[in-house]
Amino acid sequence: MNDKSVQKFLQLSSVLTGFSLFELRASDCTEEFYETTQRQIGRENLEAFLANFADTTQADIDVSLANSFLGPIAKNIIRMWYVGNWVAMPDEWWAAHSSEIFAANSTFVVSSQAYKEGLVWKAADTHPMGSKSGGFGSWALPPAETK
Amino acid sequence: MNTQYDFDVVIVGAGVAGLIMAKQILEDAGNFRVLVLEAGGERSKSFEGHREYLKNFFEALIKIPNSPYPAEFYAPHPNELETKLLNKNDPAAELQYVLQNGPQPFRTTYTRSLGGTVQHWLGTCLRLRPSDLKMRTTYGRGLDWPLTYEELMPYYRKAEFEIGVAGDVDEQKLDGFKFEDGYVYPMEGIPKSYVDSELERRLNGHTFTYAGTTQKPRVTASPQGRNGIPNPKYKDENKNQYVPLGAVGRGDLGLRCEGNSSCVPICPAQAKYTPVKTLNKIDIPEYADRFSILYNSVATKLHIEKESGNIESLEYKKYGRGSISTKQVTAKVYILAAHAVENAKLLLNSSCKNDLIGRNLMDHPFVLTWGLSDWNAGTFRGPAVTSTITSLCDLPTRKDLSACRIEISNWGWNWATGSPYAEVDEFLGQGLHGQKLREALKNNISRQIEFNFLTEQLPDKDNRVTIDENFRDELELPRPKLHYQLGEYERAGLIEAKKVSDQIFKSAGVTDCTKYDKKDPGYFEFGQSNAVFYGAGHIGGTHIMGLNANDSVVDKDQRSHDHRNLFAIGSGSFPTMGTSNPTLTIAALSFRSAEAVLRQLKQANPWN
Amino acid sequence: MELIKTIEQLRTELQAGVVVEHTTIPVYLVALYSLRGDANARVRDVIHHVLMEEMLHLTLVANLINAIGGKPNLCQKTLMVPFPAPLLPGNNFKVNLSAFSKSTVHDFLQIEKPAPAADQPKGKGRRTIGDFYDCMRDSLKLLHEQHGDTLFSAPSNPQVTGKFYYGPGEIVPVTNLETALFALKTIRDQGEGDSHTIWEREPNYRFKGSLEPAHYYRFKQLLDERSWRLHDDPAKLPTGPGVTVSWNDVYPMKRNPKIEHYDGELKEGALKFNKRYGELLCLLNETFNGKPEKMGVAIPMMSQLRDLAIAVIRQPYPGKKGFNAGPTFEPVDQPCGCSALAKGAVAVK
Ligand SMILES: Cc1cc2nc3c(=O)[nH]c(=O)nc-3n(C[C@H](O)[C@H](O)[C@H](O)COP(=O)(O)OP(=O)(O)OC[C@H]3O[C@@H](n4cnc5c(N)ncnc54)[C@H](O)[C@@H]3O)c2cc1C
Ligand code: SF4
Repeated sequence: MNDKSVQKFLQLSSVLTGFSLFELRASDCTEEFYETTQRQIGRENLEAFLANFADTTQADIDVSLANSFLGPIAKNIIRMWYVGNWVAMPDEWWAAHSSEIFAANSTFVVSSQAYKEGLVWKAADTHPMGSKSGGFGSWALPPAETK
Repeated sequence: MNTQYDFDVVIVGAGVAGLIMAKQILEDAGNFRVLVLEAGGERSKSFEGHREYLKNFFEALIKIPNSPYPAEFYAPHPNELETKLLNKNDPAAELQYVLQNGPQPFRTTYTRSLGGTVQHWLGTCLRLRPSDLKMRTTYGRGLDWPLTYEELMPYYRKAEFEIGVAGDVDEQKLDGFKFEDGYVYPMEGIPKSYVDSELERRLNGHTFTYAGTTQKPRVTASPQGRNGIPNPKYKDENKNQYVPLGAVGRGDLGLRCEGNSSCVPICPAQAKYTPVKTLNKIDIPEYADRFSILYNSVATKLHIEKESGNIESLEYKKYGRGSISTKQVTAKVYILAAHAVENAKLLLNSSCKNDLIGRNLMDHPFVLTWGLSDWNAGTFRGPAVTSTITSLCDLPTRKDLSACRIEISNWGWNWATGSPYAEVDEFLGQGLHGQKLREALKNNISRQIEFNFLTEQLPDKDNRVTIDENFRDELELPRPKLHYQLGEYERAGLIEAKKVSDQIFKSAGVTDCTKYDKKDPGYFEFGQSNAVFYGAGHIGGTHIMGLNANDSVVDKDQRSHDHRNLFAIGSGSFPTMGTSNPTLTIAALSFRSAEAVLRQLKQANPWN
Repeated sequence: MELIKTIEQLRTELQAGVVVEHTTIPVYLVALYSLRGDANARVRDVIHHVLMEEMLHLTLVANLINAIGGKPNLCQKTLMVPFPAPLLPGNNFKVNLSAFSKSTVHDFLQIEKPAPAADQPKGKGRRTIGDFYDCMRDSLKLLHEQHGDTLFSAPSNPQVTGKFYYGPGEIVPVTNLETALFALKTIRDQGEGDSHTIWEREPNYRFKGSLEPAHYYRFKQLLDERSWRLHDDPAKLPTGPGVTVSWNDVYPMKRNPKIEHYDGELKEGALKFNKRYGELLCLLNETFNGKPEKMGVAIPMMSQLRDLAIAVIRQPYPGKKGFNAGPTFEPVDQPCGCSALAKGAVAVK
């Protein structure tokens, strides 16, 4: 695995998800998500995707999300961080960009860990259903202060 | 009739009904020999098996109740996504194990493996109300039970001990339930969630109208079958304090609910009752020579003696890797505890004559309403439901429309929209990302309020389970086919729910967001209004209890009117459903029927 | 160890028990949180179970101190010390915060080292925790012979009950010699056991299939990657079924990490952890000094601490390539939440 690309992937993920590097590393999913993305969209597409974000300003991101090649990849990466699922790429995208991809275009839960570390639970100040429980009676307390 | 029996009692099904029955018979001084046949596998017996189930849950895309529990090839079970109706030219409808004949889908599920459907229950442990058992007399609707609340009281206590119920008796009394003086639940009540208390506080002093009456919202904590703080005042039958039972195979875990918030479908801690805890009490060396449980063994047919009508033997199929063998077993008494649909399937496949078999299929059909609060509700914490609004459970309006109990969701819109997944998709679709996405999700999810209006469905002979020779399961048995429809009474009750919801939401600072999708299989219209109904997984009827073979299939001991050495137990025996979840009553009836079985075994001629 | 002659001195000595039991907690916590993924499910179970029992022991010692009229001291100002930290006063064996590894398990074995069985000559080696509790037991009996039940007649005797504890074993309120000895025995049997038997002997242990080896032997199973069978010889190797240990599925946390090496969000996170941990200790201090109901609040706090610690342990260690950061458990400069109570509490030697 190319360490530089992984770092780039992580930095970009931070901008895309709105979670800091510290928070993303706390999930310990970076490598797994990088590999999954690479497998599902192919090495070349991923390299092209990462290269597109030379400096990741807000304006860049907005443009990229609207782009028919970049947008679906970015959304998939965000979704993977948020809920742990990889979702099949849209048909048009697949038709145009899948020549170098060996994996099937499918939807799946990346792993137990990916599910449990889903950012959506952190965003909502709670814990994933079925893991990281708050302890007996925690549900009776007022919700944690948002920072 | 031959006098050499393989066993004294054969029980079909290792769920809560069957295992309590087995335990009661084994613990009797009569030294009776018991066989339990379980259609599914035994994974839930070990801690490793439990972990496997948990992994299935984490890695399932759609986290429906059966997602941790894969169906056995030879003992399939339905899931609530299988709502395709036959005769709609959709070939998929024929592939669903439980066939849906309509006109409406029966949106429900059960589980066929050790522990049964309780594996993915929520754990709500309400008793039925005295009036629930006397619907005909009190409200001129449905049927009366051949049992009264008073007769059931001692058995409710046993059931509350066995399941390990945490609850607050005083609060239940305020809600209209009667208890023996000084009685407390084995464990103190599970704390109400923040959502519950906030709603309670905000609704204080408000009223709402319901079917022409004025009502106060009464937020009542539900008694629950999950481990809490043992109540020091509790004394069991031997005057001992209650000791919570931990996880199966790991007694040091699961001694208290940890708020994992995944009770349906799986409690990671196993703080929630599972019938395997009951099995562990009897799967012990002391009983080894007179207790057997066979897994992967599907009961298929009862053989009936012509003259007496007694059951002569039970046929079952034991399956293994690529092999199926057909076996017979004989016993003095046969007990069907395979749950309502499977009990009916077995009785019908055995050519039992009573025309009421399979009829009066019921559930607690429910509608959901949902909205966003203008306060932070701190959702997705704790058990799915800790309190319900009980104001509408037993009003005189029950003569006109079905009663309902309003569960307050602690898991936001999880059941309504599939939250939080749906929200992530929705906001992504709107082009949100980064900090904005994060804030939008926070803002939305932590304010999600959802109500589940569970209504009482009345017995209707045309709602029924039949079996269809043309569709067979993997063991070549005719598959169950459901004929199902909501009546006017239920529709009226369900539609009224939305009106109540609108008023309560308004009082509590909640903006309604409910949308019913015309394409949903549960969509229905009534008068000017419409809604989508779901099934609660509370399957009842199919072998209702009553006074004689003309009005029912079993008597108040759950013994077949026609076959005196046959019992069919579980919620299939319920003549009406009330608004309480059924399992505590199933358990109480098992305790009660066990006494009848024991009496029968002790007779000189047990099959009379 | 010499027997103790006065009640006052026994109270002070028992406070050392509080310190010992507490010192093990960060050590086990860090090892637990350093486990990566699901591969080490069994290891996780073993450490978690021991941790729960250490908390139980802490509670039992505190109950005992209260019972004889002392005041247990759990204030963060007393208990939070930099690591490596001495396990027992007067003993130079120090414990470290380190990721799960073979050498860490060797440390665990040192901590939980069984005392020689009663009928064996006392070795000359270092003082074990077992020795310490044996001495407490014998001193308690002696003092009871001298003072009778007045030993337990403290006017305020705030006992923590099992109400808020859910884990292995049982919290007994200590009110007389019998319950005092029972508490000490539970600690002794669950923890170190003795060199005669592998199993913890807990008379009230009523959970089917849960006969557990004492801590020392439980950890030994991890090193030997094999579990004990009922009649195994404690002096030999276990002969039961294999235990899966995946030594590499661990975050490579730097030993005894220090907050001074951290910066940015990592520093913030680690600091927040230490502060919250300190608050938890003060909360427990109040719990054990007359406000048992506070335990209900402490439990959700522990869940928060768990999530914070795991977040920190998954970060790279600044300037140390190949190593991860970790919670430091260093004392924090913050006002303690229990100063009023702590005043009367017993100081540690
Ligand atoms: C999502 C959900 C939530 C629920 N929540 C609650 C709740 O909160 N409170 C409540 O009271 N109830 C709840 N219920 C209902 C509860 O699960 C059932 O009432 C209960 O499981 C019925 O128990 P039983 O033992 O009769 O049947 P089951 O639990 O279904 O057990 C039947 C057993 O028989 C076996 N079996 C079936 N056919 C055969 C055969 N032919 N041969 C051999 N064995 C066979 C099955 O494998 C199974 O083990 C819920 C149900 C669902 C679906
Ligand atoms: S909230 Fe969690 S621990 Fe409690 S019963 Fe539900 S799943 Fe189990």
